[in-house]
Amino acid sequence: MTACLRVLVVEDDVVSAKFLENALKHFGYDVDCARNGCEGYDLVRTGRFSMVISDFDMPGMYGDELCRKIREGHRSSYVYFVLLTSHGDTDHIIAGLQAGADDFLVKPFSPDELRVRLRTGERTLSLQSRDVMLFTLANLMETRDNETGLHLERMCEYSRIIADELSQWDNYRNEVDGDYVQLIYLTSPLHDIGKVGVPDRVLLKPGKLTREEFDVMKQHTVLGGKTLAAIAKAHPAERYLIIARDIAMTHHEQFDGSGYPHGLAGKDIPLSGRITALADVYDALTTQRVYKPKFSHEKARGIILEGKGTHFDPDMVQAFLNREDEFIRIANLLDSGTVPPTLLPAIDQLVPALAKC
Amino acid sequence: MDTERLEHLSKFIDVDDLMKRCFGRIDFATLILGVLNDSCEADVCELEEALTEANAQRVAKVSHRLKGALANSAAFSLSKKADELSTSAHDSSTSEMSERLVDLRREWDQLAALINDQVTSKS
Repeated sequence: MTACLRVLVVEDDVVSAKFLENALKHFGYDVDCARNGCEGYDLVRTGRFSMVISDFDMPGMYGDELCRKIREGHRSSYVYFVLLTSHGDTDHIIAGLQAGADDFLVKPFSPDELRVRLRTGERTLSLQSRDVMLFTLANLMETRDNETGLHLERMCEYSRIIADELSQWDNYRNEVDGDYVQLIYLTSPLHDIGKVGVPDRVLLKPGKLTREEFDVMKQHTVLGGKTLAAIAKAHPAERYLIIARDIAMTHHEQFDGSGYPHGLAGKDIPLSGRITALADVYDALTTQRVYKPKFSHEKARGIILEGKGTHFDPDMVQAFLNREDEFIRIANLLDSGTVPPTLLPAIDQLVPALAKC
Repeated sequence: MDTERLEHLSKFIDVDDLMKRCFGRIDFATLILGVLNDSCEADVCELEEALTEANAQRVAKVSHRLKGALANSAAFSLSKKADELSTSAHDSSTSEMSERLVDLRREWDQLAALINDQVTSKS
Protein backbone atom coordinates (compact mmCIF):
# COMPACT_ATOMS: atom_id res chain seq x y z
CA MET A 1 0.00 0.00 0.00
CA THR A 2 1.24 3.46 -0.89
CA ALA A 3 2.14 5.79 1.95
CA CYS A 4 -0.44 8.55 2.40
CA LEU A 5 0.49 10.88 -0.41
CA ARG A 6 -2.10 13.59 -0.87
CA VAL A 7 -3.57 13.84 -4.35
CA LEU A 8 -5.78 16.62 -5.68
CA VAL A 9 -8.30 15.69 -8.36
CA VAL A 10 -9.49 18.65 -10.46
CA GLU A 11 -12.41 17.51 -12.55
CA ASP A 12 -15.72 19.13 -13.51
CA ASP A 13 -17.25 15.82 -14.60
CA VAL A 14 -18.61 14.39 -11.37
CA VAL A 15 -18.66 10.79 -12.66
CA SER A 16 -14.99 10.81 -13.62
CA ALA A 17 -14.16 12.57 -10.35
CA LYS A 18 -15.91 9.83 -8.37
CA PHE A 19 -14.06 7.12 -10.27
CA LEU A 20 -10.73 8.80 -9.67
CA GLU A 21 -11.44 9.42 -6.01
CA ASN A 22 -12.46 5.81 -5.47
CA ALA A 23 -9.46 4.40 -7.34
CA LEU A 24 -7.00 6.67 -5.56
CA LYS A 25 -8.40 5.80 -2.15
CA HIS A 26 -8.31 2.13 -3.11
CA PHE A 27 -4.59 2.53 -3.83
CA GLY A 28 -4.03 4.15 -0.43
CA TYR A 29 -3.84 7.83 -1.30
CA ASP A 30 -5.47 10.72 0.53
CA VAL A 31 -7.72 12.52 -1.94
CA ASP A 32 -9.38 15.91 -2.26
CA CYS A 33 -11.45 17.07 -5.19
CA ALA A 34 -11.96 20.43 -6.86
CA ARG A 35 -14.68 21.05 -9.43
CA ASN A 36 -12.77 23.57 -11.56
CA GLY A 37 -9.34 25.03 -12.21
CA CYS A 38 -9.71 28.09 -9.97
CA GLU A 39 -10.79 26.00 -7.00
CA GLY A 40 -7.98 23.57 -7.79
CA TYR A 41 -5.38 26.34 -7.86
CA ASP A 42 -6.49 27.67 -4.50
CA LEU A 43 -6.13 24.21 -3.01
CA VAL A 44 -2.67 23.67 -4.54
CA ARG A 45 -1.56 26.96 -2.97
CA THR A 46 -2.18 25.50 0.48
CA GLY A 47 0.91 23.34 -0.15
CA ARG A 48 -0.85 20.17 0.96
CA PHE A 49 -0.65 18.38 -2.39
CA SER A 50 2.35 16.79 -4.04
CA MET A 51 0.34 15.35 -6.90
CA VAL A 52 -2.45 16.79 -9.06
CA ILE A 53 -4.63 14.94 -11.55
CA SER A 54 -6.52 17.47 -13.60
CA ASP A 55 -9.01 17.29 -16.41
CA PHE A 56 -8.02 19.20 -19.54
CA ASP A 57 -11.33 20.77 -20.55
CA MET A 58 -12.90 22.60 -17.66
CA PRO A 59 -14.96 25.74 -17.31
CA GLY A 60 -13.04 28.83 -16.25
CA MET A 61 -9.53 27.47 -16.41
CA TYR A 62 -8.24 24.70 -18.63
CA GLY A 63 -6.00 21.99 -17.20
CA ASP A 64 -2.89 23.17 -19.06
CA GLU A 65 -3.50 26.70 -17.79
CA LEU A 66 -3.78 25.39 -14.23
CA CYS A 67 -0.53 23.49 -14.69
CA ARG A 68 1.24 26.57 -16.03
CA LYS A 69 0.05 28.66 -13.09
CA ILE A 70 1.34 26.06 -10.65
CA ARG A 71 4.71 25.93 -12.38
CA GLU A 72 4.94 29.73 -12.46
CA GLY A 73 4.27 29.78 -8.73
CA HIS A 74 7.73 28.22 -8.09
CA ARG A 75 6.44 26.16 -5.21
CA SER A 76 9.00 25.04 -2.65
CA SER A 77 8.20 21.39 -3.31
CA TYR A 78 7.53 19.88 -6.70
CA VAL A 79 3.95 19.14 -7.69
CA TYR A 80 3.64 16.14 -10.00
CA PHE A 81 0.98 17.03 -12.55
CA VAL A 82 -1.06 14.52 -14.57
CA LEU A 83 -3.43 15.80 -17.23
CA LEU A 84 -6.56 13.80 -17.82
CA THR A 85 -8.32 14.15 -21.13
CA SER A 86 -10.64 12.53 -23.60
CA HIS A 87 -8.50 14.06 -26.34
CA GLY A 88 -5.82 11.66 -27.41
CA ASP A 89 -4.48 13.96 -30.11
CA THR A 90 -0.96 15.29 -30.37
CA ASP A 91 -1.94 18.97 -30.10
CA HIS A 92 -3.39 18.48 -26.64
CA ILE A 93 -0.45 16.41 -25.50
CA ILE A 94 2.02 19.05 -26.72
CA ALA A 95 0.03 21.85 -25.10
CA GLY A 96 -0.03 19.94 -21.82
CA LEU A 97 3.66 19.12 -21.83
CA GLN A 98 4.58 22.69 -22.77
CA ALA A 99 2.61 23.87 -19.78
CA GLY A 100 4.75 21.63 -17.57
CA ALA A 101 2.59 18.52 -17.16
CA ASP A 102 4.49 15.39 -16.23
CA ASP A 103 2.13 12.80 -17.64
CA PHE A 104 -1.15 12.16 -19.45
CA LEU A 105 -4.08 9.87 -18.83
CA VAL A 106 -6.68 9.37 -21.51
CA LYS A 107 -10.32 8.78 -20.55
CA PRO A 108 -11.59 6.21 -19.99
CA PHE A 109 -8.62 5.45 -17.78
CA SER A 110 -8.00 1.94 -16.49
CA PRO A 111 -7.29 1.64 -12.76
CA ASP A 112 -4.19 -0.44 -13.50
CA GLU A 113 -2.80 2.25 -15.77
CA LEU A 114 -3.62 4.91 -13.22
CA ARG A 115 -1.76 2.96 -10.57
CA VAL A 116 1.47 2.54 -12.57
CA ARG A 117 1.44 6.17 -13.66
CA LEU A 118 1.05 7.31 -10.06
CA ARG A 119 3.92 5.07 -9.06
CA THR A 120 6.04 6.77 -11.70
CA GLY A 121 5.03 10.08 -10.17
CA GLU A 122 5.87 8.88 -6.70
CA ARG A 123 9.25 7.69 -7.90
CA THR A 124 9.95 11.10 -9.42
CA LEU A 125 8.91 12.90 -6.23
CA SER A 126 10.88 10.49 -4.10
CA LEU A 127 14.04 10.80 -6.19
CA GLN A 128 13.76 14.55 -6.14
CA SER A 129 13.40 14.79 -2.38
CA ARG A 130 16.03 12.11 -1.84
CA ASP A 131 18.66 13.72 -4.03
CA VAL A 132 18.01 17.19 -2.65
CA MET A 133 18.33 15.89 0.90
CA LEU A 134 21.49 13.91 0.25
CA PHE A 135 23.10 16.80 -1.57
CA THR A 136 22.19 19.22 1.21
CA LEU A 137 23.39 16.98 4.01
CA ALA A 138 26.66 16.09 2.29
CA ASN A 139 27.36 19.76 1.67
CA LEU A 140 26.47 20.65 5.23
CA MET A 141 28.96 18.10 6.45
CA GLU A 142 31.72 19.42 4.21
CA THR A 143 31.35 22.89 5.71
CA ARG A 144 32.03 21.48 9.18
CA ASP A 145 34.86 19.16 8.40
CA ASN A 146 38.52 19.56 7.71
CA GLU A 147 38.71 16.39 5.68
CA THR A 148 40.03 16.53 2.17
CA GLY A 149 37.64 17.68 -0.49
CA LEU A 150 37.71 14.42 -2.37
CA HIS A 151 37.29 12.10 0.63
CA LEU A 152 33.54 11.92 0.06
CA GLU A 153 33.96 11.16 -3.62
CA ARG A 154 36.41 8.36 -2.87
CA MET A 155 34.10 6.99 -0.17
CA CYS A 156 31.27 6.79 -2.73
CA GLU A 157 33.48 4.95 -5.17
CA TYR A 158 35.13 2.51 -2.76
CA SER A 159 31.78 1.64 -1.18
CA ARG A 160 30.19 1.16 -4.57
CA ILE A 161 32.99 -1.14 -5.74
CA ILE A 162 32.66 -3.41 -2.70
CA ALA A 163 28.85 -3.51 -2.95
CA ASP A 164 29.03 -4.20 -6.67
CA GLU A 165 31.42 -7.09 -6.05
CA LEU A 166 29.11 -8.54 -3.37
CA SER A 167 26.11 -8.26 -5.70
CA GLN A 168 27.75 -10.94 -7.82
CA TRP A 169 28.14 -13.41 -4.96
CA ASP A 170 25.42 -16.00 -4.43
CA ASN A 171 25.23 -15.46 -0.67
CA TYR A 172 24.67 -11.69 -1.06
CA ARG A 173 22.43 -11.77 -4.12
CA ASN A 174 19.22 -11.36 -2.13
CA GLU A 175 20.54 -8.47 -0.10
CA VAL A 176 22.70 -6.63 -2.59
CA ASP A 177 21.06 -5.79 -5.89
CA GLY A 178 21.63 -2.97 -8.34
CA ASP A 179 19.41 -0.71 -6.29
CA TYR A 180 21.47 -1.36 -3.16
CA VAL A 181 24.70 -0.58 -5.01
CA GLN A 182 23.23 2.72 -6.17
CA LEU A 183 21.94 3.57 -2.71
CA ILE A 184 25.23 2.88 -0.98
CA TYR A 185 26.96 5.08 -3.54
CA LEU A 186 24.51 7.89 -2.75
CA THR A 187 24.46 7.54 1.02
CA SER A 188 28.06 6.71 1.91
CA PRO A 189 29.06 10.42 1.87
CA LEU A 190 26.81 10.83 4.91
CA HIS A 191 28.93 8.53 7.08
CA ASP A 192 30.31 11.42 9.14
CA ILE A 193 27.20 13.63 9.10
CA GLY A 194 27.13 13.54 12.91
CA LYS A 195 30.27 15.66 12.97
CA VAL A 196 28.06 18.69 12.59
CA GLY A 197 27.31 18.18 16.30
CA VAL A 198 30.93 17.87 17.43
CA PRO A 199 32.39 21.06 18.99
CA ASP A 200 34.96 22.96 16.91
CA ARG A 201 37.62 22.65 19.63
CA VAL A 202 37.55 18.90 19.07
CA LEU A 203 36.57 18.61 15.42
CA LEU A 204 39.05 21.18 14.16
CA LYS A 205 41.88 20.46 16.59
CA PRO A 206 45.10 19.90 14.68
CA GLY A 207 47.00 16.80 15.82
CA LYS A 208 46.14 14.01 18.19
CA LEU A 209 43.03 14.09 20.39
CA THR A 210 43.10 13.40 24.14
CA ARG A 211 41.05 10.45 25.44
CA GLU A 212 38.28 12.83 26.53
CA GLU A 213 38.29 14.60 23.20
CA PHE A 214 38.18 11.31 21.38
CA ASP A 215 35.19 10.26 23.47
CA VAL A 216 33.46 13.43 22.32
CA MET A 217 34.49 12.77 18.73
CA LYS A 218 33.13 9.22 18.87
CA GLN A 219 29.71 10.66 19.51
CA HIS A 220 29.50 11.73 15.87
CA THR A 221 28.32 8.22 15.02
CA VAL A 222 25.44 8.42 17.50
CA LEU A 223 24.53 11.98 16.54
CA GLY A 224 24.44 11.14 12.85
CA GLY A 225 22.75 7.80 13.36
CA LYS A 226 20.03 9.25 15.58
CA THR A 227 19.35 12.17 13.26
CA LEU A 228 18.96 9.93 10.25
CA ALA A 229 16.96 7.41 12.32
CA ALA A 230 14.43 10.14 13.14
CA ILE A 231 14.04 10.95 9.45
CA ALA A 232 13.84 7.25 8.55
CA LYS A 233 11.13 6.74 11.16
CA ALA A 234 9.04 9.45 9.55
CA HIS A 235 9.57 7.90 6.11
CA PRO A 236 9.66 4.15 6.70
CA ALA A 237 9.27 3.30 3.01
CA GLU A 238 12.50 5.10 2.07
CA ARG A 239 15.19 2.46 1.94
CA TYR A 240 17.99 4.97 1.41
CA LEU A 241 17.30 6.57 4.79
CA ILE A 242 17.68 3.22 6.53
CA ILE A 243 21.00 2.63 4.77
CA ALA A 244 22.19 6.17 5.53
CA ARG A 245 21.24 5.72 9.20
CA ASP A 246 23.12 2.43 9.44
CA ILE A 247 26.20 3.85 7.78
CA ALA A 248 26.34 6.89 10.05
CA MET A 249 25.81 4.79 13.18
CA THR A 250 28.03 1.78 12.45
CA HIS A 251 30.93 2.68 10.17
CA HIS A 252 33.28 2.63 13.17
CA GLU A 253 32.09 -0.73 14.49
CA GLN A 254 34.60 -3.56 14.15
CA PHE A 255 33.93 -7.15 13.19
CA ASP A 256 35.27 -8.54 16.50
CA GLY A 257 33.09 -6.21 18.57
CA SER A 258 35.86 -3.80 19.58
CA GLY A 259 34.53 -0.81 17.66
CA TYR A 260 32.16 1.97 18.64
CA PRO A 261 29.56 3.24 19.47
CA HIS A 262 27.81 0.00 20.42
CA GLY A 263 30.49 -2.65 20.17
CA LEU A 264 28.48 -4.62 17.63
CA ALA A 265 30.14 -7.71 16.21
CA GLY A 266 29.97 -9.84 13.06
CA LYS A 267 26.75 -9.76 11.09
CA ASP A 268 25.08 -7.70 13.81
CA ILE A 269 26.80 -4.80 12.13
CA PRO A 270 24.62 -3.79 9.18
CA LEU A 271 26.16 -4.65 5.83
CA SER A 272 26.37 -0.99 4.85
CA GLY A 273 28.41 -0.33 8.00
CA ARG A 274 30.78 -3.21 7.23
CA ILE A 275 31.27 -1.96 3.68
CA THR A 276 31.92 1.67 4.60
CA ALA A 277 34.22 0.69 7.49
CA LEU A 278 36.67 -0.78 5.01
CA ALA A 279 36.21 2.00 2.47
CA ASP A 280 36.79 4.68 5.12
CA VAL A 281 39.95 3.07 6.53
CA TYR A 282 41.39 2.34 3.09
CA ASP A 283 40.93 6.00 2.23
CA ALA A 284 42.53 7.08 5.49
CA LEU A 285 45.52 4.82 4.90
CA THR A 286 46.11 5.89 1.33
CA THR A 287 45.94 9.61 1.96
CA GLN A 288 48.41 11.88 3.70
CA ARG A 289 48.08 13.10 7.28
CA VAL A 290 50.06 15.64 9.26
CA TYR A 291 52.57 13.23 10.77
CA LYS A 292 52.65 10.50 8.16
CA PRO A 293 52.84 10.32 4.44
CA LYS A 294 50.16 8.53 2.55
CA PHE A 295 50.66 4.80 2.49
CA SER A 296 51.03 2.90 -0.73
CA HIS A 297 48.25 0.62 -1.82
CA GLU A 298 50.43 -2.36 -0.90
CA LYS A 299 50.90 -1.13 2.66
CA ALA A 300 47.22 -0.34 3.01
CA ARG A 301 46.38 -3.75 1.57
CA GLY A 302 48.62 -5.42 4.17
CA ILE A 303 47.02 -3.50 7.01
CA ILE A 304 43.55 -4.37 5.81
CA LEU A 305 44.50 -8.04 5.48
CA GLU A 306 45.81 -7.90 9.03
CA GLY A 307 42.45 -6.59 10.15
CA LYS A 308 40.51 -9.38 8.42
CA GLY A 309 38.10 -10.94 10.90
CA THR A 310 39.03 -8.46 13.64
CA HIS A 311 38.49 -4.97 12.30
CA PHE A 312 36.88 -6.00 9.02
CA ASP A 313 34.33 -8.53 7.84
CA PRO A 314 36.35 -11.19 5.95
CA ASP A 315 33.86 -11.01 3.09
CA MET A 316 34.46 -7.27 2.69
CA VAL A 317 38.20 -7.89 2.66
CA GLN A 318 37.76 -10.55 -0.02
CA ALA A 319 35.57 -8.21 -2.07
CA PHE A 320 38.28 -5.56 -1.73
CA LEU A 321 40.96 -8.01 -2.87
CA ASN A 322 38.87 -9.13 -5.84
CA ARG A 323 38.56 -5.53 -7.02
CA GLU A 324 41.76 -3.95 -5.72
CA ASP A 325 42.77 -2.72 -9.17
CA GLU A 326 39.73 -0.48 -9.11
CA PHE A 327 40.65 0.80 -5.65
CA ILE A 328 44.10 1.73 -6.97
CA ARG A 329 42.58 3.45 -9.98
CA ILE A 330 40.19 5.50 -7.84
CA ALA A 331 42.90 6.37 -5.31
CA ASN A 332 45.10 7.70 -8.12
CA LEU A 333 42.28 9.43 -9.91
CA LEU A 334 40.95 11.21 -6.83
CA ASP A 335 44.26 11.74 -5.05
CA SER A 336 44.47 14.74 -2.68
CA GLY A 337 44.69 16.03 0.85
CA THR A 338 45.18 14.76 4.36
CA VAL A 339 43.54 12.22 6.65
CA PRO A 340 40.74 13.22 9.01
CA PRO A 341 41.42 13.18 12.76
CA THR A 342 38.45 10.85 13.31
CA LEU A 343 40.35 8.01 11.72
CA LEU A 344 43.65 8.55 13.51
CA PRO A 345 42.85 6.18 16.41
CA ALA A 346 41.71 3.47 14.01
CA ILE A 347 44.89 3.85 12.00
CA ASP A 348 47.03 3.87 15.14
CA GLN A 349 45.38 0.64 16.14
CA LEU A 350 46.18 -0.87 12.76
CA VAL A 351 49.69 0.48 12.33
CA PRO A 352 51.48 -2.29 14.35
CA ALA A 353 50.44 -4.59 11.55
CA LEU A 354 52.73 -2.61 9.26
CA ALA A 355 55.75 -4.28 10.78
CA LYS A 356 54.54 -7.54 9.36
CA CYS A 357 53.91 -6.13 5.86
CA MET B 1 -28.47 -4.37 -5.93
CA ASP B 2 -26.80 -7.54 -7.18
CA THR B 3 -24.78 -8.24 -10.32
CA GLU B 4 -27.77 -10.00 -11.89
CA ARG B 5 -29.70 -6.75 -11.95
CA LEU B 6 -26.67 -4.97 -13.32
CA GLU B 7 -26.66 -7.40 -16.24
CA HIS B 8 -29.96 -5.85 -17.40
CA LEU B 9 -27.90 -2.81 -18.41
CA SER B 10 -25.58 -4.82 -20.63
CA LYS B 11 -27.25 -3.56 -23.80
CA PHE B 12 -25.82 -0.12 -23.01
CA ILE B 13 -23.03 -0.75 -20.54
CA ASP B 14 -20.07 -3.12 -20.63
CA VAL B 15 -20.83 -4.51 -17.18
CA ASP B 16 -17.56 -6.43 -16.86
CA ASP B 17 -15.58 -3.32 -17.65
CA LEU B 18 -17.63 -1.23 -15.22
CA MET B 19 -17.14 -3.75 -12.43
CA LYS B 20 -13.40 -3.82 -13.11
CA ARG B 21 -13.28 -0.05 -12.80
CA CYS B 22 -15.19 -0.36 -9.53
CA PHE B 23 -12.74 -2.98 -8.19
CA GLY B 24 -15.62 -5.48 -8.14
CA ARG B 25 -17.57 -3.40 -5.61
CA ILE B 26 -21.25 -3.52 -6.43
CA ASP B 27 -22.00 -0.75 -3.93
CA PHE B 28 -19.65 1.60 -5.74
CA ALA B 29 -21.06 0.59 -9.15
CA THR B 30 -24.51 1.45 -7.80
CA LEU B 31 -23.27 4.81 -6.56
CA ILE B 32 -21.64 5.59 -9.91
CA LEU B 33 -24.75 4.71 -11.88
CA GLY B 34 -26.80 6.94 -9.60
CA VAL B 35 -24.37 9.83 -10.13
CA LEU B 36 -24.32 9.15 -13.86
CA ASN B 37 -28.11 9.17 -13.93
CA ASP B 38 -28.24 12.65 -12.43
CA SER B 39 -25.27 14.24 -14.18
CA CYS B 40 -25.98 12.76 -17.60
CA GLU B 41 -29.60 13.85 -17.50
CA ALA B 42 -28.50 17.36 -16.53
CA ASP B 43 -25.95 17.44 -19.34
CA VAL B 44 -28.42 16.23 -21.98
CA CYS B 45 -30.87 18.91 -20.84
CA GLU B 46 -28.08 21.50 -21.06
CA LEU B 47 -27.28 20.29 -24.57
CA GLU B 48 -30.90 20.74 -25.61
CA GLU B 49 -30.88 24.24 -24.19
CA ALA B 50 -27.58 25.09 -25.91
CA LEU B 51 -28.90 23.81 -29.20
CA THR B 52 -32.04 25.90 -28.85
CA GLU B 53 -29.74 28.90 -28.42
CA ALA B 54 -27.65 27.66 -31.38
CA ASN B 55 -24.65 27.88 -29.06
CA ALA B 56 -22.28 25.44 -30.78
CA GLN B 57 -19.41 26.20 -28.40
CA ARG B 58 -21.50 25.20 -25.41
CA VAL B 59 -22.69 22.07 -27.23
CA ALA B 60 -19.08 21.11 -27.90
CA LYS B 61 -18.03 21.66 -24.31
CA VAL B 62 -20.91 19.81 -22.65
CA SER B 63 -20.90 16.90 -25.09
CA HIS B 64 -17.15 16.52 -24.55
CA ARG B 65 -17.67 16.30 -20.80
CA LEU B 66 -20.49 13.82 -21.35
CA LYS B 67 -18.28 11.68 -23.55
CA GLY B 68 -15.76 11.30 -20.72
CA ALA B 69 -18.37 10.52 -18.07
CA LEU B 70 -20.03 7.89 -20.24
CA ALA B 71 -16.73 6.31 -21.26
CA ASN B 72 -15.61 6.01 -17.64
CA SER B 73 -18.97 4.38 -16.87
CA ALA B 74 -18.36 1.87 -19.67
CA ALA B 75 -21.35 3.17 -21.66
CA PHE B 76 -19.26 3.11 -24.81
CA SER B 77 -21.98 3.41 -27.44
CA LEU B 78 -23.42 6.50 -25.78
CA SER B 79 -19.95 7.92 -25.28
CA LYS B 80 -19.36 7.55 -29.00
CA LYS B 81 -22.59 9.41 -29.74
CA ALA B 82 -21.52 12.23 -27.40
CA ASP B 83 -18.15 12.35 -29.14
CA GLU B 84 -19.80 12.59 -32.55
CA LEU B 85 -22.02 15.40 -31.30
CA SER B 86 -18.97 17.21 -29.93
CA THR B 87 -17.19 16.88 -33.27
CA SER B 88 -20.23 18.01 -35.23
CA ALA B 89 -20.52 21.09 -33.02
CA HIS B 90 -17.19 22.27 -34.39
CA ASP B 91 -17.94 21.92 -38.08
CA SER B 92 -21.53 20.96 -38.81
CA SER B 93 -24.90 22.54 -39.24
CA THR B 94 -27.42 22.97 -36.45
CA SER B 95 -29.69 20.42 -38.10
CA GLU B 96 -26.99 17.76 -38.00
CA MET B 97 -26.26 18.56 -34.35
CA SER B 98 -29.96 18.34 -33.67
CA GLU B 99 -30.22 14.90 -35.30
CA ARG B 100 -27.30 13.64 -33.27
CA LEU B 101 -28.69 15.04 -30.06
CA VAL B 102 -32.07 13.39 -30.66
CA ASP B 103 -30.30 10.10 -31.19
CA LEU B 104 -28.27 10.62 -28.02
CA ARG B 105 -31.37 11.58 -26.03
CA ARG B 106 -33.25 8.46 -27.23
CA GLU B 107 -30.51 6.07 -26.17
CA TRP B 108 -29.89 7.91 -22.92
CA ASP B 109 -33.58 7.75 -22.00
CA GLN B 110 -33.53 3.98 -22.48
CA LEU B 111 -30.46 3.59 -20.27
CA ALA B 112 -31.81 6.01 -17.67
CA ALA B 113 -35.06 4.03 -17.49
CA LEU B 114 -33.11 0.84 -16.89
CA ILE B 115 -30.94 2.48 -14.24
CA ASN B 116 -34.05 3.78 -12.49
CA ASP B 117 -35.75 0.43 -12.73
CA GLN B 118 -32.86 -1.93 -11.91
CA VAL B 119 -30.36 0.09 -9.94
CA THR B 120 -31.74 3.00 -8.05
CA SER B 121 -35.20 1.60 -7.27
CA LYS B 122 -35.52 0.02 -3.83
CA SER B 123 -37.50 -2.97 -5.03
